[in-house]
Amino acid sequence: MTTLKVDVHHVTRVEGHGNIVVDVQDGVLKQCDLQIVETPRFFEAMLRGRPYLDASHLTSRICGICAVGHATASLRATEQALGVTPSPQTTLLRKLNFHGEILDSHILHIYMLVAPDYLGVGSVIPLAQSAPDVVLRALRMKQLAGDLCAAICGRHTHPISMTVGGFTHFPSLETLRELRARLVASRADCDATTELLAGLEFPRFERDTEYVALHKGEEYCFIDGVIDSSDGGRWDLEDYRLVTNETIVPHSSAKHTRHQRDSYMVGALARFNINHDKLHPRARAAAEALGLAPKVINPYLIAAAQAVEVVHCTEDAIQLIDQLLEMGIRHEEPAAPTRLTGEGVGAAEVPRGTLFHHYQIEDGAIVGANCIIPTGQNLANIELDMRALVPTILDRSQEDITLALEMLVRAYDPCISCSTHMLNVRFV
Amino acid sequence: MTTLILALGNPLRGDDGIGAAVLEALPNLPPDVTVLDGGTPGLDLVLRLQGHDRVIILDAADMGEPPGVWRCLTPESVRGLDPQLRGNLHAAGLAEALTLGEALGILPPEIRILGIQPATIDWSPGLSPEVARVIPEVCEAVLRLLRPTG
Repeated sequence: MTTLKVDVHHVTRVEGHGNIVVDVQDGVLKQCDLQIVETPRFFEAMLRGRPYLDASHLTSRICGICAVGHATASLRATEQALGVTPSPQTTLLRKLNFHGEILDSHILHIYMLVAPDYLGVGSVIPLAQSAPDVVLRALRMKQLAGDLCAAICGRHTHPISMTVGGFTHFPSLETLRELRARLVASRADCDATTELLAGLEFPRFERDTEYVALHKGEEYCFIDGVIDSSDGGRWDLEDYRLVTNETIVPHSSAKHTRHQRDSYMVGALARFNINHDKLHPRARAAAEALGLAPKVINPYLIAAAQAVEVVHCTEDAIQLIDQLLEMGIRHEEPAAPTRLTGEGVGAAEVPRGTLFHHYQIEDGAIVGANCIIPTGQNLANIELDMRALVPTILDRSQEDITLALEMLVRAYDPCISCSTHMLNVRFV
Repeated sequence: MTTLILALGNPLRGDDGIGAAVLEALPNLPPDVTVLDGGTPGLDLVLRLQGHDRVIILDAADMGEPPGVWRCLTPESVRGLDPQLRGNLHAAGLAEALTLGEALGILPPEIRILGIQPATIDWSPGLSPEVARVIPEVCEAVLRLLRPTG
C-alpha cells in the first residue's frame, strides 16, 4: 500500500481519549501522530491553597488504577518539603502496599487489555466465555492484590490510611500471615501468567531508545532513589526537570518529554532494562522463560516485562511480610514535620513508569504543585515507534496496520486521562 | 443476609460525587450492612460485589433526564450499553463490570442500582444544587430497599 490514511478515533482499551492519525502518500509518511483529546485536568490548581495533609488524598483521586502510586509520590514530596523522616516500619508498609498496586495494574493490563489482541478475541468478555479459567485467574490475582492494599491502606482505590509521616491504621499480624499464605499460593498463578505470555507471538519490531527508571542501591526500585538512564548518567530527584524537559506539541493536549534523545521510555520495560540484576531470582527465571535479556528494545514486550515484575513483586511482598512479622507491628504515630514551609520532590515507579510530584508549601498550605505522569513521558516515544513501524508494514491491509498500531499504543498501557496534562487512532 | 451499599464515582468531578454524599447522609445501619465508597474502581468492581447476598449501588447515571432525577435500575437495564467492552477498560464502568460478572456467573443474586442524573461531572469538587437537593429522598429509597418487604 503506497497511500494510506488511518484515523482511529478513540483508541480502545486504553484509559482516556486518544486518536492515532497516519497519512502515507506515495509511500512517504506525511503524518503519524498520537493525538490527545482528553481535557487537561486541573489537579495542580486544585491543590493550591489546600493544607498539606490533603494533598495525598486529592492526588490519589487522579487515577483509580494508580491511587496508591500517586499517594506515595505525593507523601514523599510533602515529607521532603517539611523535613519528615518516616520510620523503617512505614517504609516497609509502603513498599508492600505499592507491590499490591503494581500487581493489580499489571494483571489488568496483561489479561484484560493485551491478551484479547493476541488471543484473537475482541475483548475480555468473549475471553470470559471461551476461557473462563484464564479470566477467573486474573480476577483471583487482582483480588489478592486489592486485599493486600486494603489490609495496609484501608482500600485500594483511593487509599485512606496513608498519611504524611506514616499510617493511621495498621494490619494485624494475623492478616499479614494470611496474606503471606495467599501470596505463596499465588506462585502457581504467577507461573501460569508467565506461561500464557511465553505462548503469545509478539510482533518482531525493535527500536532502540533511552530507558529511564529510578535506581536505588541493591533494590529493584519502586520508591525514591535517583533517576537512572540506559544512555548513562544519574540525576537527583530534585533535578527531574533536567530529565523530563516538558514541551508543548500542537497535536496533543498532553505535553511531550525528551532527554538525551528525541524521546525516552519509562515503565516496566525501562525498569527491567535498568534494574534487571536487582530482580528476585524467581523473576529472573521468569524473564529467562520469556526470552527477555537486557536490553530489550521491542516495545510490544512491555507486557512480558510486566509479567516478570508480577513474579518479583509477589516474591518481594513475601519477604517484606516476613520482615514485618519478625519486627512485629507497632501502632506508631506518624512522624511529625520539622518545619511547615519548604519545597520537595517525591518520585515513585508506578505501574506505567516514573511519577514525579513536586510541591512548594508555605505555612502548611500548598502554594505550588507540579505532577509529571509516566504516560506523558512515553507519548513522544510511542509516536517515534509508530513512525518507525508504519513504513515496515505498508504491505499489509489497512485493517492489519491499524491493529498493529493500536496494539503498539496499548503495549504502553497508556493512561491518557492522567497524562493530560493522552489517545483515539485516526488514519486520515 | 448480607448487604453491600456501594457508592461509585469521583467526588472531585461535581455530581459524580452523589453516591459518596448519600453514603455520608445515611443513618446508622444494621451490622449485616456494609457501606463502601468505591470511588472509580473499573473492572475491580466485579470483585467488590462478590460475597454479598444483596448489593445496592449508588451512582451518577446519564439518563437524559433533568438533573436530580433518580431511578431504581436493574442490572439488566444497565448492562449491554457496550456488550463487547470495546470502550475504555481502565475506566470501565458499571455496565462493563456487570457484563463481565454475568459472563463469569459470579454476580450476587440481588443487585439494585440507584442512578441519579447529574448536572455536571466536570473536574471540580461539590454537588450542584439540583442534585444535592435529592440526597434525603435517595437515602429514604436506600432504607426502603433495606427493609425486608423492600
